[in-house]
Amino acid sequence: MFKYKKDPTAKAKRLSSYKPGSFLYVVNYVSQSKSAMAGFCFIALLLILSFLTPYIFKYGYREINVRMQYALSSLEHPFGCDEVGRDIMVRIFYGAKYTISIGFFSTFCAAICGIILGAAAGYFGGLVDTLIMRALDVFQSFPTILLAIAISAVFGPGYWKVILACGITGIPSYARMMRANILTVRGSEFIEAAASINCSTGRIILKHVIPNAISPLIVQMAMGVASAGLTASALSFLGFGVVPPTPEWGAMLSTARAYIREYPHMVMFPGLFIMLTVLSLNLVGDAIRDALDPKLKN
Amino acid sequence: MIKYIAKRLLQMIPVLICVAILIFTLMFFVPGDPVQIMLGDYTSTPEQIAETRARLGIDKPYWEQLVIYLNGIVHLDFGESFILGNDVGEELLERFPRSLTLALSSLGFIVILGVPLGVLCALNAGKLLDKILMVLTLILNSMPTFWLGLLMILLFSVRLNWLPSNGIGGVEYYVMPIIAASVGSLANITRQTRSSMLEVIRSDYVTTARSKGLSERKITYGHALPNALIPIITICGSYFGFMIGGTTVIETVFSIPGIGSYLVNSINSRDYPVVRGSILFIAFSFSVIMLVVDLLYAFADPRIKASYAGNKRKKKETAETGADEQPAAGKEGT
Repeated sequence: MFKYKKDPTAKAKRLSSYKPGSFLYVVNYVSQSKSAMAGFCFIALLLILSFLTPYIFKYGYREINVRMQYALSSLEHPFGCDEVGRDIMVRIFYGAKYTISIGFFSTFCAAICGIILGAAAGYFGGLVDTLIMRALDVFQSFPTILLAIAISAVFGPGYWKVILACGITGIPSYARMMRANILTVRGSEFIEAAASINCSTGRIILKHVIPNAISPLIVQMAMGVASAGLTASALSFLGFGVVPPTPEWGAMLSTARAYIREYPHMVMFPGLFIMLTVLSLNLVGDAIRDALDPKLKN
Repeated sequence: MIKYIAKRLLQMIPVLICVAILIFTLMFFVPGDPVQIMLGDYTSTPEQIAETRARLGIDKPYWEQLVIYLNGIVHLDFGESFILGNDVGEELLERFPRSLTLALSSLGFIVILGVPLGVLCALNAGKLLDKILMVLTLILNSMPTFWLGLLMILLFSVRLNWLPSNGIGGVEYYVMPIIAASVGSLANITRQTRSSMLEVIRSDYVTTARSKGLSERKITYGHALPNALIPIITICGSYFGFMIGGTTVIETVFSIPGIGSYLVNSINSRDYPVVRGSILFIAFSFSVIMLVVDLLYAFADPRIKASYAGNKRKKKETAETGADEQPAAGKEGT
């Protein structure tokens, strides 16, 4: 039978038809990395399952069945049941959207705020710069999780509040990075040219400075989603994030912790899925980093 | 150098005061009344509530409370716990060594195991050992600390009955918390050391050393490793921050009466003096460690040391670009 032979140069050829650093280049690069695609598929599958749980599974994520309390794995309930007899598998799939979306949303919030602050600090310099950077110093003198705990203590538990807490903690690193980039870009000739043809400040920042300083920030964002997801689940585990009965994985673990001696299956699965999700996000993030910053490639 | 240290220490003071104000303000607006939690919902009369509020000093307006609080901080007085009534400063001093032990020994564990593993990977780059370790570190890096802690309790305490699952005591009580706290960072530092080492191995001075006929051993440990370790120092500093923040999670999992669990419990009971005190304490130790890391960094890298001593023009340049990038790079590790 005729066997399809893979042309080893085809990959390089296809990549070289895109400008390095452009969006299509990154998409192509990532789609050619097997591990990144595996990660991407896992995340996509989880999200699809998460939104379709009511149509796929027999049990609802809130459906209590006292007779199935602490049930171990069976065909009926592959991951077993929890302390009030809810099916753990359904709860895990339903809860997937929380961890993943908190990771994405909080990274976006952090990046947008950070970019605006950093760009302002770097571009205007002087007093604005000093004020912004000193304020960020204060925020940076806390370890990440501690600041997140302090903020979510103020806002109280809840989905959007966790996003806010994880988002705020991320701002300083983006702002610093953006500022450093702006400082290097600011002195360059094309900015001078833009200013000389009477571009407004906003236009210079948005159209000329940011596109030239953005790629390290995208790398940082790609890596940040996974760690934001981890921070969020740690917050929920401590009871400051998304709280039970919402089936967020960290919250599920925090409930399951009380039953660890008698019913260890309640502890196994939520943690396993946190790990797999974070791993997948990391794999995709690594590929994006390699695509944008070949110097960092191992 | 001494001038630089003094400058950094002086810079720390306004930052810490701002931290204190920030924490105070945040805690002031926390919803939920500590008095309600203390007295319970139904049994207390309005007079009792008012009296307790006056006793705790939380009936005064924001500014007045802030001034009293800052005045206390300057005199190293962290106030008294609302719930237990004992001195927060004393309690913190009693608990802090446990958290510090945990954080420092985790950090030591990471460095002692992670750096050699990274070097091993770099020397065997592309071989089977390297590949296995890389996949393993990738997986361990994605593991949530609290889950790892719970799994270890499950295996070593519940099933095998080898180690105690909670509390404090001898060394055996610290084994699991240290491992659980450090595995993720250990994996990370192995990867970082590997890539840093690989980068250095390709550099010109290593080629020079090789062409001089030095043994591979001397090249690796005499020339490559010291240079590869420079970026690792910054990363270690940020890991310390990560560890001391992570104690909140680890101490909760293993029920260790350290500063982290103190904080978590007191947030739940709205015990503001404790929350403020412990956060300020952690922020302080974090700042000190970051300073130590910066100094170590200067010590390890003669180029940076040179930029602090003499040569004004160079100093200005680092102040503009280099010095600002360093803290940001340090934060990435978390």
